[in-house]
Amino acid sequence: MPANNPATGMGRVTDEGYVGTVFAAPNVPDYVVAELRYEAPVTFTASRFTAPAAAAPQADRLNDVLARFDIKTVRSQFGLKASTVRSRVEVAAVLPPEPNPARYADRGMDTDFIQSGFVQVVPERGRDVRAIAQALDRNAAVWKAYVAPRPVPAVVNGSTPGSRNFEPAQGYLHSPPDGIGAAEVWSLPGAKGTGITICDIEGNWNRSHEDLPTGISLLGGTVIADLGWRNHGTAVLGEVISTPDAKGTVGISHEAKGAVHSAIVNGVFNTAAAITNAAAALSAGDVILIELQATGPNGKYVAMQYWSDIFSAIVAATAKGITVVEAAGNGNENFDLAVFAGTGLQKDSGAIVVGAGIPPTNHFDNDDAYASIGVPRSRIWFSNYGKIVNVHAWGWHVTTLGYGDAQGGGSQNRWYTLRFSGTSSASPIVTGAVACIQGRSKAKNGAPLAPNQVRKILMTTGTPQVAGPGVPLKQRIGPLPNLPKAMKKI
Amino acid sequence: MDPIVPGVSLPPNSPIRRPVELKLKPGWRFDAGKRVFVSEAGERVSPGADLPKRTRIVPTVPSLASADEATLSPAERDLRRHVQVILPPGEPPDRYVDAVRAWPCVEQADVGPEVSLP
Repeated sequence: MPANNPATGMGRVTDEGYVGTVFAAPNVPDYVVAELRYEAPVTFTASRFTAPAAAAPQADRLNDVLARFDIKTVRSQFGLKASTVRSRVEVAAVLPPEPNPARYADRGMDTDFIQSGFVQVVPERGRDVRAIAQALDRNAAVWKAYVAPRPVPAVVNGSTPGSRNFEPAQGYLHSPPDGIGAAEVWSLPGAKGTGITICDIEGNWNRSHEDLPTGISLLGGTVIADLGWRNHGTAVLGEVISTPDAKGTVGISHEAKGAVHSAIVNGVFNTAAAITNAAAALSAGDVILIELQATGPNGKYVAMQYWSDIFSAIVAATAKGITVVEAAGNGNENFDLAVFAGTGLQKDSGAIVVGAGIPPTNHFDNDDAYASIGVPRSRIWFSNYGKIVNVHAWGWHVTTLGYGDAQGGGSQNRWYTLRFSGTSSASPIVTGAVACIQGRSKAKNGAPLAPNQVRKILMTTGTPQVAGPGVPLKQRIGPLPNLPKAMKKI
Repeated sequence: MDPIVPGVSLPPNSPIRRPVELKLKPGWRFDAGKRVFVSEAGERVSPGADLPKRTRIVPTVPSLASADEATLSPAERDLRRHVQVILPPGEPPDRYVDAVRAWPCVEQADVGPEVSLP
């Protein structure tokens, strides 16, 4: 029984070796290759072996073998013309036993002669090939006879025909402290987000991307016709639910179901309605991701719960057992400032508010300097911060779907990126972690956790934020989720 | 430090408008059929004269507007007090915010947020 590859959870280990991708067996016949001895003056037609009178017994014995089976055809393994095959008899007749081709080249032992000795014997029934090969192999005129191999593409995950495999670049899947340890927990029942639905709220998505599952529902709202918004939504979905199929990427919670809701309702942004509508379509244990920010009173981007209608919508959704994950925003804004007193930026909506941190791949790659962007797990320069920011994740160069900088081409369905960034890239990482936790909880305990329990687990088990130059710990973005530790709390 | 701040705004010619968003005082609701705000005490505020023609006034969350209040959570009851004033294309919302704030049924009003992608 083929077993799952323990390292990746994908592909299969068979008796023959590791099979990263299953290929359909081509409809071609099995056959035998018989290599005639150089010195055997035997040739062949489409149905039998022939030889001059002096060597007729050799041909006869070969034909005796053929006569025991239903033979479809006999032909040159190298597709040589019949005249070339026939001419081998004259050369073979004058050769000594086991002649050295280099020595007898001037006597006709050229490439054509050597190739002319390879005979393809194709039976009507594929199951006869072994017996034919064994019988011919015992014949004195034959140097070697064997069943022709049936090759399969020598691929492992990563070299499948078509799109490249970008999974090795998904460092956020790796074990803590660099990543969140998603791949490490996938072997636990439910921990791939099984039975959980994730609804992403923003403006556009390419739901036909080759690496997304089918059936991602648009729950409501009007899609924004813009490539930038489309790439963004596609990238977000890729982080959480891209399929484990040996091409592209694999989502953190790739057994979760995807759904989307546009924030455009009645021709205007109405995030509160989108959250409320999404919550009505979801169940306890499911996840809503708010992938939006807006300009706050200081002219900087802030989290959407600053606005009171959105705050109330989040409170209502979490009260139904739905975990809401919310991007903190990219405004380099301090939510603890007095200007935000009494607003949603200093109150608990029940959401998990996500800041952006520096990943271990902490360099710019868009200039010659390759400068460092900071200390891994410290606050990245644009991330908002404050007491309500609960956890952080990679805010720079996340590998996922869309954009086309990693793999482009004419079809957006095959676009991939190595550079999705911002609290936008961080929030789906946390969303995927939440889905893994809730899937695991349902599998183990028969029920999901309450949203505040999920948040507490992520905050108390995560890999701590660290300080960096100009970004002290008091600029709080919280820890990076640590799923292996979190799973022990379920 | 690289000045890049990730963010994606709406495309320049987007038809998506910014509304005026208001929160009603407790006890008030919008009667969409009569285009009038009504209070539990029977007071009425008609917004028509302050707004351009073809302005739409809609509950922020329509599904909550028609729901039985007894079935709503406190957060949903709060959310039900939110209303959007969607002006016709080309009408700048900030021109109408003060007029909306002056309605006696309104607790607070602002131009809707300028939303982008983080």
